[in-house]
Amino acid sequence: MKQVLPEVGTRLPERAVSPFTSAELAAYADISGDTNPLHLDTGIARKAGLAAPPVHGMLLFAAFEPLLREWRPDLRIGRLSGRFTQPVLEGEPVTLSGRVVRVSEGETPQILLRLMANGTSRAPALVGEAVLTPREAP
Amino acid sequence: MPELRLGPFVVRTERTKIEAYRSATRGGGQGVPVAFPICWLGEPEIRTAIEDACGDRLPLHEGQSFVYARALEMGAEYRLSVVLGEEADPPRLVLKAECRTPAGELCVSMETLLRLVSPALELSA
Repeated sequence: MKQVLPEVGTRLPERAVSPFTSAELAAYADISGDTNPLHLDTGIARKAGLAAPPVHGMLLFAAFEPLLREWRPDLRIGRLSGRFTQPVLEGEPVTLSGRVVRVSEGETPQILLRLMANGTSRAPALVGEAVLTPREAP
Repeated sequence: MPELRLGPFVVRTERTKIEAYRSATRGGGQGVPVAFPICWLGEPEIRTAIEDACGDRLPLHEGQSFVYARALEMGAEYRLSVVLGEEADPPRLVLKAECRTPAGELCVSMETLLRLVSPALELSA
């Protein structure tokens, strides 16, 4: 049976991500090996002009996978990319959003989504893209 | 800095590490998370090469991409090769990595952009 693909302009359900704690930043640093002290030491963050340590960009990045998976479990992620444009600080809530910007049908359909993670500042913290393909596609 | 080629390194999708990664990223699901291969850049030789290239500058993760040719399997062994390059304007390190099966089939390509800043830079500006 032919899979029903999303239409261009379809929005993903927005997802509120509760603030990351210092313990969570430490746990992520430990597992990822990204032990940059900027993420872990309030004193260093303050010296860099930030009120608190910034959340690892990859923590925000990783949050998109469950969002995409829950939105369309029948699709798999073929590509995921992101630019970290603004720091999100420890203790700051984040909202994830996304929109379908292109759908190419054919033998291997592809759905291109534009993704954003926003903290409390006006500008997005992360701007990304995902390409999804049907799970049965090669 | 001339391009530096590192590896191939033997890397693994160990279930315990993936479960710890899932917990740390609040992720769910069953398979290997899409962004999990970022953990492999913590390989000591890669890490040392990045630190050497940074000198007294601070690396800030500016961008990341993963392109999957085939899914990674849980509990499997792969080969990771990395090319580390530097751009001058603006100063940044570019890591391009490829993960292949032991038979040489490409699974995932990833690119990591690390902006290099002076430690005195005010990030909130």
